[in-house]
Amino acid sequence: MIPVLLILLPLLTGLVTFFIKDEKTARSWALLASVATLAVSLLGLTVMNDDTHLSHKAQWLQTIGSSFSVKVDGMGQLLCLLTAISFPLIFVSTWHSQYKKANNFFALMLLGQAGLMGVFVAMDALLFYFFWELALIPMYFLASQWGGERRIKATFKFFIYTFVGSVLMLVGILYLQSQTPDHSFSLQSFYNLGLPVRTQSWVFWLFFVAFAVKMPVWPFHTWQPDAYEQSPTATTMVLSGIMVKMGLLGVIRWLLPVLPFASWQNGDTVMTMAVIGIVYASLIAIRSDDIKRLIAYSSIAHIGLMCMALFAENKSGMQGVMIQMFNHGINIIGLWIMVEVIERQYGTRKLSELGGLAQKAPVMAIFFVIVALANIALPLTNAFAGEFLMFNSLLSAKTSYLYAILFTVFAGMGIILAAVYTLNMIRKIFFGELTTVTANAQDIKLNEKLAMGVIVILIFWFGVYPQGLLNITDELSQVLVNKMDISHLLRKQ
Amino acid sequence: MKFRNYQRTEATGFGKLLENKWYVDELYDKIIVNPLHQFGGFLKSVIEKSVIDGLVNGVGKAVTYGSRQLRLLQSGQAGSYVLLMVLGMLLVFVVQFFLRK
Repeated sequence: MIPVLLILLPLLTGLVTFFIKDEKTARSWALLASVATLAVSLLGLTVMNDDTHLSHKAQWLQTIGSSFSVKVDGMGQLLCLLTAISFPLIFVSTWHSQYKKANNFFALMLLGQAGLMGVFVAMDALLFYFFWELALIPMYFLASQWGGERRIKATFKFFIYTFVGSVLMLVGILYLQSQTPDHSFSLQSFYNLGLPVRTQSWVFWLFFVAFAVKMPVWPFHTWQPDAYEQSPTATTMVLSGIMVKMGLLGVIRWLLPVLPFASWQNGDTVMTMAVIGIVYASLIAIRSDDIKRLIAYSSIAHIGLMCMALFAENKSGMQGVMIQMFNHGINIIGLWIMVEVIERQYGTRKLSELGGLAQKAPVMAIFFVIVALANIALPLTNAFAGEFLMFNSLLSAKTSYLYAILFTVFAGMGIILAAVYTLNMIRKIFFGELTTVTANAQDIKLNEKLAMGVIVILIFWFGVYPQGLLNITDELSQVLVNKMDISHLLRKQ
Repeated sequence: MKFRNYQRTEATGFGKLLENKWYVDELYDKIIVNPLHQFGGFLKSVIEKSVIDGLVNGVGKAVTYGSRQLRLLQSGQAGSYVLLMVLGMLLVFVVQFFLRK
């Protein structure tokens, strides 16, 4: 019931939005729809959080072994909640941004939300693939129609890149389905597969490339800074706050437990790629002058850490990543809201052209600093608990001891570098001399204060008391870790 | 009190070392900050732009180039089509011969 509503509500309201010609009405309608989705998500988290409400199965393409099977598990709860919170925040914070053909813009945003929800709750591989593409298509149109100057090139690259990945994944899905005894696409049959080791290692890469492009993991990341830079900021928020979580969710739900041998075998390779990505992206972020690109590279570094923690294959890593997916989404949306304000007000995103804003816009400075500190994962901010768990997992990773130490040290450098570029960004935007651009700056408006207020409350709430998030993900992460445990599998054979 | 006590004079020797806080900041700048900045710049402008992105864009360019060349095969001359057909059949036979287990 709940997962069906989470998909249907944005889908139907989105389709209706296409026909609302008046801009103001379309805007209000989209906000209303997203708030309704948030209400459903909260309902699923609190009152109706039992299995009968949280899962649904219906017949769909039965002849080829697929069914419309959806379920909100622990990870699904967090990601659906993140998606549901994000959209009202995005709509409220960009209330004053002007779009041509606004109805189409909001309609596509809501369709994207439906696709994302579908990815997070799908328990059938074909359904998962279907929603995976459904989420991509609206994003393509949003970025290519309302984006910046070089949008066509950037979105073309984004689309081709992710599409190549997802087609590889489709091949993998079809192969796995052919190997199941009952020729079924259901997640459960995939979990029971137990493929031979040699087969696993090549199927692994079919899936991993798709997820690596989406996350993105170095060196599959080059679509990302361009796409983030060129998309309208509201779309960038969806791309970076929610959509990259599709890749992580894919690894957690569809890769590690399905191909445990190969995941263990290739874990070192993947972790090496991810750790290179952390240091590499952080160093580039230090040298970036464009705020959007800086945050994009910072995001690559953060996602790299999450990817590493997943392949550490233990419970604290698993749980750390699950709560970090939520918290990273909240924090980065906060950063993008600030970027949107800066760009709309001053017409530039260049650090070299900004300065001294703290004198003119103190409220904005306070919000920005809090979100930026959360981005560095300072204690008492929401990102701290997840980051701590992830580093904890790296040290006890299932690799050789030397590797574990090396990985931890280099990933730890990412934190230091994150402090360097984040604090540098704060200094260059808010302190120092006023520039010609910022001389007549104004503070942020009520709607932006409202959205940022919610984000700051979430930052401190989950910073002081992360137990709520941990409780939701506790059971699922244990189940998944058991499925990934190959020593246990070896004993069974 | 003499006027000289209030005069700002450049310290020398050990005093200068202390005045510059043991040159710790300069040392950090020299051995950590500047190299990292330079390395970051190198990654940004060379590795990211030319190597990784170049590779990605290169794939795209190779496809466009390849398809432009392959287009020339469609010459409209039946003779060349027959030739290609025969060559293709030969290739199939050769491949089959070597792949037979």
